[in-house]
Amino acid sequence: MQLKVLCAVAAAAFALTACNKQESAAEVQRDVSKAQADAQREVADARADVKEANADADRKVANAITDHDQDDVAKAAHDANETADKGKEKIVIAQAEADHKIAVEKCDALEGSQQRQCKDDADKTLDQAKEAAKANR
Amino acid sequence: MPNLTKALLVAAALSCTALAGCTSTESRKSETTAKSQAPAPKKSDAATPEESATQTLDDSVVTAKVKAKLVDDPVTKAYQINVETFKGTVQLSGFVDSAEAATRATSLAKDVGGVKDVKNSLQVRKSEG
Repeated sequence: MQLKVLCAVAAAAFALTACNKQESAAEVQRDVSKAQADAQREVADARADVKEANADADRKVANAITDHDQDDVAKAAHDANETADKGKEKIVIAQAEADHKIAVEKCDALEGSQQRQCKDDADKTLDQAKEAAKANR
Repeated sequence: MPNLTKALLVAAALSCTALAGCTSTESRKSETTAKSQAPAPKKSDAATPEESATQTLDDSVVTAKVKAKLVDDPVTKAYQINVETFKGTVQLSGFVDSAEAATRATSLAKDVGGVKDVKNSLQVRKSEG
């Protein structure tokens, strides 16, 4: 019984140590480069999605104008503005998440509590950016 | 003798036709050359009817979106603001009762997708009482 408890404690301690293990400069550089490439692609994807959604929304406004339906025009225009606002938020969040990924990878160059603090700071920055994006809507 | 006259007449007619054919080919050739040598019209010089119709529709979409934005805003919804758009430039006109409302309307319009510029022609008139 005691042996099992000891094993469990040892395994937990080992896992914790591994969590905040410092990576070599080369490993960090490789991971950061990968995160940067992923981030660039994800932000570009978000921008493309938003552009498409905005174009769709504008097309609906144009169709309502062509149909001479003033109520539909007002509704479609309102929806298009909503879509545009959501799109801006989506891009800001995508950018913040991308920055977060890169920041977390850079934290791996540190060790122990410094690394943990670095990652906590990165999380905090991401949360703040998300809140700011929502507040700006 | 009449046979010789006939033959000469036929020969003259054939020569005329041949010459006319040559001239017509030449003139067609020079037209083509003139066309190919003339500078290609610049795209920006004049919009095609299709481009102009698309531009008008785009401007109408921008106008509709700016109006919706002004109606949805708690500050600007109280005023009747006229919105006109030409090639992405929005002109706001009408009356508001504070400079803040005018500034707010301009900033809302600038925020709308497709707006390139905003001309603020709003007049501030303090309401009496």
